[in-house]
Amino acid sequence: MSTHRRHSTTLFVSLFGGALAALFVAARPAYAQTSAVSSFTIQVSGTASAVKTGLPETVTFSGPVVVTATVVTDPALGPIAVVSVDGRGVTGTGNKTKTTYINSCQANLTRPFGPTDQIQTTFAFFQNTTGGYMNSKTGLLTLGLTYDTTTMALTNVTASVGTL
Amino acid sequence: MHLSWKPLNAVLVVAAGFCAFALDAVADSVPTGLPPSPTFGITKFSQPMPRFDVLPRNAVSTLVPAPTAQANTTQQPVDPALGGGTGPIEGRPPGDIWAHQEFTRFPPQIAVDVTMEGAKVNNTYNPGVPSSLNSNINPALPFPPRFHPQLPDQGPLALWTFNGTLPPKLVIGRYAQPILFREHNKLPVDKNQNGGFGLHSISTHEHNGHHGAENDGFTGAYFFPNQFYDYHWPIVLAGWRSINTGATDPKAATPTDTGTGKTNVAGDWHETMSTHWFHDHMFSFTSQNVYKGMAGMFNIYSALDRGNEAINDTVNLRLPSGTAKSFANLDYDVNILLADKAWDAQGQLAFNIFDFDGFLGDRMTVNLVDNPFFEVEARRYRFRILNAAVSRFFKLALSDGSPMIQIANDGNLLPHPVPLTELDELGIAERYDVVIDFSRYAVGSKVYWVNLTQQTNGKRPDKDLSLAEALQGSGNDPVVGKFLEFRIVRQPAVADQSQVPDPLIPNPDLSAVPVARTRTFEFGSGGSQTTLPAAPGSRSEVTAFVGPWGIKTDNQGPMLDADYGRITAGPGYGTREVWTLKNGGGGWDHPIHIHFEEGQILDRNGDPNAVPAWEKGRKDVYRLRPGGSVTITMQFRDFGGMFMEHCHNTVHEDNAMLMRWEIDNNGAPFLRPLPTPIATPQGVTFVPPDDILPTAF
Repeated sequence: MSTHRRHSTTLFVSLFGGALAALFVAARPAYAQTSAVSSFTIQVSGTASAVKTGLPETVTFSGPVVVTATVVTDPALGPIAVVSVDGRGVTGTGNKTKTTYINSCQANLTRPFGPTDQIQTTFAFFQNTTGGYMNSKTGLLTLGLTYDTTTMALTNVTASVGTL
Repeated sequence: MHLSWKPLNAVLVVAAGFCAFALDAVADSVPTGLPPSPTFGITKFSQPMPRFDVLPRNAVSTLVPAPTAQANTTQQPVDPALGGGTGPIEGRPPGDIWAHQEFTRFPPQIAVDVTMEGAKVNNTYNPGVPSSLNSNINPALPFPPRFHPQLPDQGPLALWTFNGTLPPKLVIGRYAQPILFREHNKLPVDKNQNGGFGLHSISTHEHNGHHGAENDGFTGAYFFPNQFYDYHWPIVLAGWRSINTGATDPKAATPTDTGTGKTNVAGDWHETMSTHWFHDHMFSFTSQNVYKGMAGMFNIYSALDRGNEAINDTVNLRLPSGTAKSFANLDYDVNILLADKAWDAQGQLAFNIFDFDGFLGDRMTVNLVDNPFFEVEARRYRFRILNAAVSRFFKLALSDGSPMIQIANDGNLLPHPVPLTELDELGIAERYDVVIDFSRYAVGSKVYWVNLTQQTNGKRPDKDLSLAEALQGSGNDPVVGKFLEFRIVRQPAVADQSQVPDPLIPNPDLSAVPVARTRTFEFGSGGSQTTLPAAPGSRSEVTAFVGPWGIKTDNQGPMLDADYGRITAGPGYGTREVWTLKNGGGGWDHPIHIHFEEGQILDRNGDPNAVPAWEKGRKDVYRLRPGGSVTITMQFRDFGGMFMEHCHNTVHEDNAMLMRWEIDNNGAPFLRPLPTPIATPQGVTFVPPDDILPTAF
């Protein structure tokens, strides 16, 4: 199960004027560039089964994931998105022992820009103890992004947590 | 006679030599722009990955002639192909300005004597470990210069490497043991004898050494065939002039030759460095020369990062390494050089010199062999991963999604270890040190490193794939997917004593150092050259280049093409500054390298919270990302001279996204501004700078 909540959307457009270089056969003009940054914070939940993690128990996760999309257009290249993910606010709890698990879920992902995007990225989670990171396990974060292709801003994000 | 080594002329010369091959390249295959590299029937993971070839550490007395503080200007005949007459035996610019700084205070104790020459068989391979830790490679057997046993040997014009051989070379160093790195240029005197790309004049950058500019491999301080250049690497902790000057801090220390001892050194231990590399920096030819093989790695050892996992002295971090030697055990500390390559129908290294966006290969090499395997024990290993590609980014994961622990970024251990299942995209010249614990695997099993980033041109990555997608490969990019097979072959013979402690090395605290200046550098397309045609007295026909890329400084004036006779910035000696690096090129990506001083990232895109955990340490390469910016802070200490800042997509760098900055001290002890060296085989002369930007000083 997952829920989502639109947290903030900012949009800015920047234009870089076109000084031209004509000194070289391969000289390239400074193309007009437009970029849009938008961000969502969504609440995610999910489980990591003991069978897949090798832990003695299933871990149930919940917490916020911040998704920030920077979409950049460039006439020479076409649009592209850099999707930044920060899920470090998500915590897990062992179903049997009630052990707390934290994670290091941060990612900057290069993605093609379009109306929608489906992303799967893995992350490490581990016991919230001294040196717990030495025995990290692998979680899977699945994101569904929807963009307004005119403003290039995120309009919706869905997310869930599981295992590979 | 002086030759005019105008880079553009050289490009055209090289291009002419390349013409026939270029005509064959009309297929314009993705991603190389050349015909696809023939496979010669080879299959992945059918050859072992060789460990680096450790360069001998000799007594300085073995160097003939003995090294000198100022360049050795003893005259020798110059080959007619280089203009004839006579010229100095050492190519370093002469005189006091280019003398080794602090040569008396830090006299060299170790000599590393190398050549740069065409490919040949290696009969002296020293992996630094027994064969059992090198996938059973017998180092006594000749090591041929080829990327796979089923490929032909690389010819002496195709592959130019340190000592002319494979595997790539490793220098072992430690703090307070200065190295004199003498490099002899044994490349062909005829610049057209280059196999279609590359230039025979060279300058080697120790990336990112804390030493004087005369040892930095300045792009204009290049030397010619039959000359040598002495690089003095003092290996000192930054801040040694002002911090811990009495060498009383036990964490600022270096290992003794034997036993468990250590010797204190001056400087700030928070500035301790670990994983460096060295590579060519020839003006306008760095991409071709590095691609051609001019790259090695340099491990720097300290009491903190000692390379001995057993010594428990409360300072040693005990990272995976080994135990036999006091320091620099390589048993479980493995250098990794990633580079995509391409070869022609004859199996010879090929490069597309006509693509100014960047060059991608269609074959993945690790330590300069094609898609190898590597045997490991079921224990922890440290891998020092270097992206030595021209224009390609890599994003690494293990094929089963298991975590790795990132412990260092660029040359520096992080403040805290970061467990990751997918590393960030590794930009060109960046280094990530990671620890992998193979004890989780059964003996006899295999796991792979997988490249998740699809890239089909040199402009930027197309897409980061999911692990599942990457394991299926990409029809557009042959370098996506598995590229290194780890074979877990046995339990460790000796118990693993390594640790990955937290913290590792906290950052130096700069909060009490006032910010003397802020500067802004915008990297983008549409560069123009203001110093051509050359004004009277200028030598900009040598120092300036014209290309599609450029750098705009402090929001003033045009986006400028590279001219190493132009001074773009002159931070004051001993000061701290804040620099913002902006991507002005829209969707392109640029990994920006600032020489000499490591920086701390203050924010990304203006947001301090956008700096990921693995970028919280000190760095020397800063990825801008499409539409992005990075704000960093640095101190300028200990040494002076002229340094550089540039895109490390080396095709962008060569065409002409590079600028010179220099450390200024209001005239003393360094000149203001420094004269520009003009290198010729007959000797180096100096001219005043072509240009000084209004905000430089």
